Amino acid sequence: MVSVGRQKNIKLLSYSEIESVSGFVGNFEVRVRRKPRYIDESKCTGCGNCASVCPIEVTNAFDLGLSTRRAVYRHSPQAVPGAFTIEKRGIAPCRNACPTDQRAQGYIALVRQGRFADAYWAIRREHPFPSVCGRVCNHRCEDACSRGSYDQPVNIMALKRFVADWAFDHRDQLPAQRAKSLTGTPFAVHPTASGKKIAIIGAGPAGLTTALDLVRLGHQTTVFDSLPVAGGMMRVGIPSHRMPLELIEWEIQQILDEGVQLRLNTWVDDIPALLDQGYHAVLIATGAHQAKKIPIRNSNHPDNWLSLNLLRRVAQGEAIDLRERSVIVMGGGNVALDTARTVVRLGARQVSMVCLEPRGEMPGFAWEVEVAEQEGIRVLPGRTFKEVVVKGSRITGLRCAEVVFRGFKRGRPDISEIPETEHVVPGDLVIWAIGQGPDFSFLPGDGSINTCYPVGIQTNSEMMTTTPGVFCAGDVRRGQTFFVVDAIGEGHHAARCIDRYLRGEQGVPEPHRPPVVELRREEIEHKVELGEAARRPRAVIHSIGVEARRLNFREVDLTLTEAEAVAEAERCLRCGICSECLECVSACERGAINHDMQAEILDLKVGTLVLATGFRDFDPRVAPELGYGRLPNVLSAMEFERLINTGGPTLGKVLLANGQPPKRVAIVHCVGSRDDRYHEYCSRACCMYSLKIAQLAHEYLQAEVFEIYRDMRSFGKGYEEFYNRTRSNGVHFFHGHVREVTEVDGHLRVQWEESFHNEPDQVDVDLVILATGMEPQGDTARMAKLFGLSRSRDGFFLERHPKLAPVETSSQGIFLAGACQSPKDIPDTVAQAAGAAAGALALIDQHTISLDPSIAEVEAARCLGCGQCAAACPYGAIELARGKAAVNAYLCKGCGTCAGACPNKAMSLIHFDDRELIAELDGALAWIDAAEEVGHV
Amino acid sequence: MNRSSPRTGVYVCQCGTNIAATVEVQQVAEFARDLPGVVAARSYSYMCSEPGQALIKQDIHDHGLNRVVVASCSPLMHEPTFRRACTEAGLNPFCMQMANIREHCAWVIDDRQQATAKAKHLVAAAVRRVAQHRPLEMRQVHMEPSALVVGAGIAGIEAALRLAEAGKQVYLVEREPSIGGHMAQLYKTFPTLDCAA
Repeated sequence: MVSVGRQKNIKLLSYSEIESVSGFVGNFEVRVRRKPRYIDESKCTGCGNCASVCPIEVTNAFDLGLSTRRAVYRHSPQAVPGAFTIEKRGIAPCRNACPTDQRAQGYIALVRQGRFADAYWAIRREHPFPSVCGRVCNHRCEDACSRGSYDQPVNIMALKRFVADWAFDHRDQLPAQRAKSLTGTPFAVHPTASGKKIAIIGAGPAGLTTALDLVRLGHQTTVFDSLPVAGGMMRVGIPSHRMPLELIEWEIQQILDEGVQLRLNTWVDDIPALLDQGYHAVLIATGAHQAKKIPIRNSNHPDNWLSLNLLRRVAQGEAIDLRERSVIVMGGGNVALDTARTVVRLGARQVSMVCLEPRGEMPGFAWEVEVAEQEGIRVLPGRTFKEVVVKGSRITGLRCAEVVFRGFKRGRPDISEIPETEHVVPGDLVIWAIGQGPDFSFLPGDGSINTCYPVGIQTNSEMMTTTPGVFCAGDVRRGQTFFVVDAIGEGHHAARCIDRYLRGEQGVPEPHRPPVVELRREEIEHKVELGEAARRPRAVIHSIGVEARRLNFREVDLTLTEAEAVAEAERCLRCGICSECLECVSACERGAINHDMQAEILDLKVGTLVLATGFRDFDPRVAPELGYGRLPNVLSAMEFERLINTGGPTLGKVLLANGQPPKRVAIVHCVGSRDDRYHEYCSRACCMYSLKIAQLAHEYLQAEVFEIYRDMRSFGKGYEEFYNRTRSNGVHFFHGHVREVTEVDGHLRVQWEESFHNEPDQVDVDLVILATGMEPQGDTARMAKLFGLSRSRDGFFLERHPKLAPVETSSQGIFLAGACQSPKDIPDTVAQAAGAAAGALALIDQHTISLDPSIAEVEAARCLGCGQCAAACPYGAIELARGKAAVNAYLCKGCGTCAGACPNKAMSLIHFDDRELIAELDGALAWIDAAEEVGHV
Repeated sequence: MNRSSPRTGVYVCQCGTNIAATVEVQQVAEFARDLPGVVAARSYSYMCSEPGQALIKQDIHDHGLNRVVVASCSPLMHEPTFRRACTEAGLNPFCMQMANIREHCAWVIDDRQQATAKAKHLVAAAVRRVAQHRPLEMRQVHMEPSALVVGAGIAGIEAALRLAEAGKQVYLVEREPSIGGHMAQLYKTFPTLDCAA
């Protein structure tokens, strides 16, 4: 193995697949796809630091599932090349669903290991506000979660909140690993200064995200906000009973600590002036802070409040007393719910929530509607608003009518009033929460920054407005309120666009999106069975009691405990295998890891091909009578090989399921071979490896060994001597066909029929080893098609002649070596491989090659150009040129299919043309009469 | 060469007793002698042997043969042999046709008369067919001095090393991240009980 690495004439293409084969002997064209290892072979030293930090443990196929390995792994201890490989299946559905590209599987895997600080920095890589999105997100990740199709999705939002809260609680001890949170990103802790200045208008999630990304790319950023506090809607729109202020303030402070400049209480209304002041680019991220009203009667009465104004006042610490008031909140969305629950906490006597949509179609979270009702809010859905009723100078209620709601058409509700349902909802204060939009009053009056009513500010695909250098992101671009996560996603995108605008081709490109993993139901069940994912229900979020919420803004929902968080993280199915936590990137001292590596396509031109694709072990589950997979202590021979191997998963220890060493071992021969139920052929190697296993068991385990064999085939050089030595070691040999392995009194009973007399016999042992045979690789049929080869009845590749051309195939220049042609032991394999190499060499050294002239030819005068021959040709050797078929003499293999397909006899095969074949038939048939005359036939 | 005036030699092989035990080879040769265009017909114990080939070459020379029929074994086995013999005697190798009277007659028919009759059928067919043959030339093409080996278990490793040691460029393609195949999983191998890796 090592010599392959040292031989300079060998270009080793490991972790590669053959995509296509074309051409002909001497001139084959092979397309090879090098799968991405995600680790640079030339840089990896094989130190294993990556594996030591990888949180993903999977079963190790090299040890046949007898051990586990990490998602980043070395194939085997003596692997050549020695580089590690990261196993990925694509990106997890949770990551794909998140607008911020958050690698949720990564931090969940770290939580599972109790590595909460690592998890925090992993989250921060894509997400600067985990405490917010851990609370108020609509968590599309959970909607996409594969676990949802099995039972319930992983409570990803709760895990994010847990990590954010844990980090806040441990903020003084939190290891300063900001550098770690930038690994695998285009960002740097100390980036080279670009000398560019960017002004950002609006300190909400979009603006702050863009500012942070740009600072990490070496730009100077200043964020302006008209309010006295930063955070935008996160800070002044989400009430404290859902989002404690100190957490969001801490997260904003971290952004400022990285060098983002903040100018509060600053209303910007002259964008061209900013550009004149030396800013190289401007981002508008002012959000959507204007609550809407509709002009119904008395909607101008001073006791018509706007939801966002109320929330903003409360968030800024203003004491508002509503204890004597009866409040009607109009609207059914999340802002309406926040408003109603805030009003309850301000002491209102009675709170009603009135909205157009029926229950179940309200845009607010359904769970929160329930919570609102628990808190004493009357929810009155399915109503339209007719007028605010005023008696004297006071509001006394809201006149409503019930409606049939059919959704929205072109932004307007499609409703019809139900007659005679008008009624008045009593109340003396009306708060509007029916939606909000952006304020455009700060835009230049000349229309140079175009808005597209009723949406938002017009941008191109690079997020640039109609004024060059001025960009826009977030709610103000979309014209309405979306989720925080959308604003962060737009913020990241805007940062990349601005960087590209400032730096051109050197700017950060859009990230590559690999395919998304889709797990099949059986795969999910298998993962749960293997214990890769825990079989427990989704974590439930507990809340403080309703009484405890009265007249205060204590956070209602509690966070998970550490134990609950770890338990919930254990439910993750780890769809992508590699979780993309990127811990390995931080651990690798050589910078060898690249999670964005892509497959490489190589087009090779070679003279000869040697197929040495090997065999696969017979799966003993196919023979259930032998107990494999059902009874403990029944092993396949290869499993025993791994266990007895001092470099294997148990360092050479072979123990029974009860932890005891085996004392009596039976080896069952011919499993899957020489049995018309499975394979008729003899697998040739099993008798001898069974003898070897017997010797190992005898020598290393001091066990009493029983070989139950059908016929002992020790045919090779030195083999009979090996057999005799095994026998003289005291191994018992029984001649028979094993019928069954059963469990009797804690032992395994092996029963067989004595072959000559068909008399049953048996032995009780504590370990059974099944000497499995060889069968063709699972993809032999595909490979045969790819290389244009035939297979013999047993499924292995067919050689040209069993005696005269055992390494050649019917395709000249393609050779066979080893067990892909038929089962073989190692000495035979080596011999055949040497033969195949000699065959290939003999061809190569001719420098030129003679091709048989017996190929297809076209009689142009007869050819109608119908193309049926081209369609029939299995080698793509026929093309239509100027309305006539033309044969590529090098690709044509002379099979004659085209001649059969041609409806006009224009196509014929040289040396097999009609004249020759008819003459042959004439010769054969003409003589029959004569034969009959002499009475021979 | 003129297709209308064939001068054909027919050579019936006995293949030791492989053919002769079931087919009356002498009768077949005599039968062949009367077929149109046949100017020589012989039977011999091993047509593929040096003396057997020499017979054919001599006849090509002596009788000015422009067609040859060899009634013997499968062309898979000895077509290259007889093509070479014809070439050496100055006859285009594609003017030689084989009739397989071993696998198609002697080895599959027990009845001597029937086997002989079928052999005559096949020889007559070959004689008529070969009269229609035209001389063909092999096509020469460039040979890339390299090889691609698919699979890097012991077979692939062995083949790749041998080709590489002979100075040829070898591409060794393996789908796993490491070479070694099954062998890398083994502890010791028979019959020497040495370490597998």
